[in-house]
Amino acid sequence: MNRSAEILKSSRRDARFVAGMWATCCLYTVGYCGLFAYQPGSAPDLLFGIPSWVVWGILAPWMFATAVTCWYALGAMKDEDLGEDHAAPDEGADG
Amino acid sequence: MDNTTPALLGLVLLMAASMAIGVAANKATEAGGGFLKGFFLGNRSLGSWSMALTATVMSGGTFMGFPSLIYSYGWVLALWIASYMMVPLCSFAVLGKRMGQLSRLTGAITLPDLLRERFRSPALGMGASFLIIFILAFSLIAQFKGGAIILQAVLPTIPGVTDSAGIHIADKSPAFIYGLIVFTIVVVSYTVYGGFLAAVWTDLFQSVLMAIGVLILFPLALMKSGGLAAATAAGVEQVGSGFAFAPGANREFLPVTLAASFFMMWSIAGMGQPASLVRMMAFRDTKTLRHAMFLLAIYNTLIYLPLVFTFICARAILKPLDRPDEVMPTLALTVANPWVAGLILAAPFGAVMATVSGFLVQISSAVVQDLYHRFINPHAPERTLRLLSQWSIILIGAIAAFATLHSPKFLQAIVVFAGGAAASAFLVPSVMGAFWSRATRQGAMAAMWTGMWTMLVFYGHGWYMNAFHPGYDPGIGEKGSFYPFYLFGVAPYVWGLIFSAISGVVVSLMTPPPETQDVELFFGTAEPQSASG
Repeated sequence: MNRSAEILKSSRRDARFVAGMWATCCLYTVGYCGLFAYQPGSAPDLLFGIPSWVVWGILAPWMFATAVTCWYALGAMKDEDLGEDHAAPDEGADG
Repeated sequence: MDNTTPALLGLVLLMAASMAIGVAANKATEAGGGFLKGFFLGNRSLGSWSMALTATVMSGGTFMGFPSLIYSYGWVLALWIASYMMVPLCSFAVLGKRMGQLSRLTGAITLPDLLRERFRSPALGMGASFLIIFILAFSLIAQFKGGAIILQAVLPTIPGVTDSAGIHIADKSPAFIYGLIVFTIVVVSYTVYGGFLAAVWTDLFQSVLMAIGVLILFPLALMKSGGLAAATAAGVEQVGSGFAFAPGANREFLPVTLAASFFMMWSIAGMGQPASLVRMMAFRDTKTLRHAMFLLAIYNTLIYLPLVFTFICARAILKPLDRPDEVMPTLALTVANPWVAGLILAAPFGAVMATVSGFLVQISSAVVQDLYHRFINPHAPERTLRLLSQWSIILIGAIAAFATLHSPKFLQAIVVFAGGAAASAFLVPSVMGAFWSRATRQGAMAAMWTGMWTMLVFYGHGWYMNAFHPGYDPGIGEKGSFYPFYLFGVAPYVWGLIFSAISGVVVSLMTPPPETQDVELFFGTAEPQSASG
């Protein structure tokens, strides 16, 4: 397998992982907030001074996503050699 | 000394620092290879910090418009901004490696360059260049206006010059006009001198400044307000219980359909911005990309959540404001001493300068590299390209400044349109080019124009309703003077992306597959041939 195919495979794996994470976080955040945040008129239930729907619907998944991103960036994502920089066709005639 | 003096001094220091950055960027650019690659792409030398803090959507709005929305609508803004939790992964891990690799294989230094080479289609490259010029021009005018407004607020009153006796152009005050002139001269000068690297480094500088500002402002606001519970109670008392809930205080600001739309907006649509895509072509190596992802994850957590908390606190600190867009400077001047407030106020100005600088480079690259160099004079000497690049930035800056004096009524709506249109036009062709060998040039063309036309139709409907049904208001989203068409309550750019993807796939499958030799370099087997080789 040459370099293009290797990087393509590696990038597709990264993209699949991100798609899974995005769908999980989107469904959880929008779903949880859809169920518990749309209750204007009632008294807000506060946790540390923050509405509880913000704590569980946004702060919790945010911390989870940040932890996963750090893990992926520093441990799971593979480094690849992107290859040489080939001259742009028609780069300035004397440049 | 009045309390605007430290703020003015902060802005003057920031402008001086930006000029110095332009000089340093010029030296770094000259040290690399050819002029075009250095001036428009920084010789693919971006490090982790530059990538992390400059590759994603952040402008003056982050520190001006966002606080105003928090103050107006309350805790629902935490849901509005929630998808920033996914921005580092989406921005860097999906397209980073492939854009970096494809741009190296083809020698591309701009987005139109890359699309043209990947799909072997000069028409696609030319179309992309025109769209970039069209879309960024509107955003540029709004940013010039933002810069002039900030300077206008801190300029000293000089009798007969900056007071009401001074010159007026259109409906603009003398202070605004002088603010605009100073802003234009500074930002155009350092961009002409330092090119892409000057734009990136000033962006990095302002991002650090913004972080310092937020981290100073947050504890001060928290102490002064008596805590978040007291601030929430004050907000509920002033504007009703909607302050603590979705869809927001006194308006259906964020129904569930728009909450889902915005989750897509910041994380997915942000990937398709030309400024973000070109940075994916400019980083040094994949280690840089990984570290940038890590840094951005920490940065976003430290910036966006404290911003929400800080401006929730504003409700318990400030008397109710008639103009919510003044909440940031008012809060800074209330809770911090004038010198610290000056530093905090410099952050949004730096953000505006960095955004303008980046847009100037993008438009100049589209004009000089993608149109002139590709189609008019492919063998132009470097000296000609250098002069054209620099003069095009000066000319574009002058035109934008002039247009700012006569800016249209619905400018903010046009800016939102431009962001959505860029994503709708460029994201799908970029993803198809990176991952799908069966994608054809006709498919990429269809995806680009379908995304763009979807946005034009949805905003055209808004224009029609505004023109023929005065007072038209769909009742959702931010209260304003212009509303696009929200089909089923979903934001237009979501439809733009959906229709773009459908047309890209369908047209690709309906047209003959690309020749093997056109794709094997990008998907396997063939080795690259440099222009000289």
